[in-house]
Amino acid sequence: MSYHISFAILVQYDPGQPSITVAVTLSLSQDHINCEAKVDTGASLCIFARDLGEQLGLEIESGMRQLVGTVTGTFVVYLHEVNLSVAGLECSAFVGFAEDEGFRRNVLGRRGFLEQITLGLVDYEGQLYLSYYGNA
Amino acid sequence: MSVDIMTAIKQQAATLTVQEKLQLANYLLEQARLDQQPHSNRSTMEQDMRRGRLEWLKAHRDVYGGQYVALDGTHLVAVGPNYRVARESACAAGKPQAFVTYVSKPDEVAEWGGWG
Repeated sequence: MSYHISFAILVQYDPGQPSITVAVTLSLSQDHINCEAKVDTGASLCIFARDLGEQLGLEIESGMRQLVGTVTGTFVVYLHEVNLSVAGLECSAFVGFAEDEGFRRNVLGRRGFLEQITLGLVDYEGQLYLSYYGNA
Repeated sequence: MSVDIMTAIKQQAATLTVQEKLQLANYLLEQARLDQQPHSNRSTMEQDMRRGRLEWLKAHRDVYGGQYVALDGTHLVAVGPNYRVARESACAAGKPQAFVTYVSKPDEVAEWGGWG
């Protein structure tokens, strides 16, 4: 048996890099901020550096506090509703902004992003396929 | 918009079910209301909406923690064990534009993934 899924968008990434990194735009009303984020199917949430939220005008600590576990401990993020745009796919999502100013990584995880889309991956060729769910 | 496009949309809409037509009508009404607002008012409205939703989510974390909720503004329209159920329930309730999100339990620890 074979399975077929079609996608609306193809994103090329560098397969030589240690992670699958894509360009992301976060926005709130008229404020936009561009960044790069790692696609991570093992992450529960979408998490971004604190300064990105601050540049959008968010008061980070006014968000919903959420503890995030790593292999070595935990860290705190605050969840806020923002608009996410990845390769033209736009969605509203409840994403975390790190409490720690030294936190520099951005992650697109399941809740807020992966659950809203259909994703295909050909890491051999550095190809990431995306569509809105049900809209290929 | 050209007359041709409008005609094509009307023809496509004619093929929808009654429920789908009602959903489409609600969606278009909401969009039209937003489009009639001056941009600054619209931004303020969106900001107030997001703030209201955030407060709702914080206030109902104990009740809905561990589930997905669909909110139309700050009004709860659906609850489900996953995104799909909450989204489809919201659509069935005539609110396809509802904001759907997971509500974590107060003591829940989210996972950071494979490269922490």
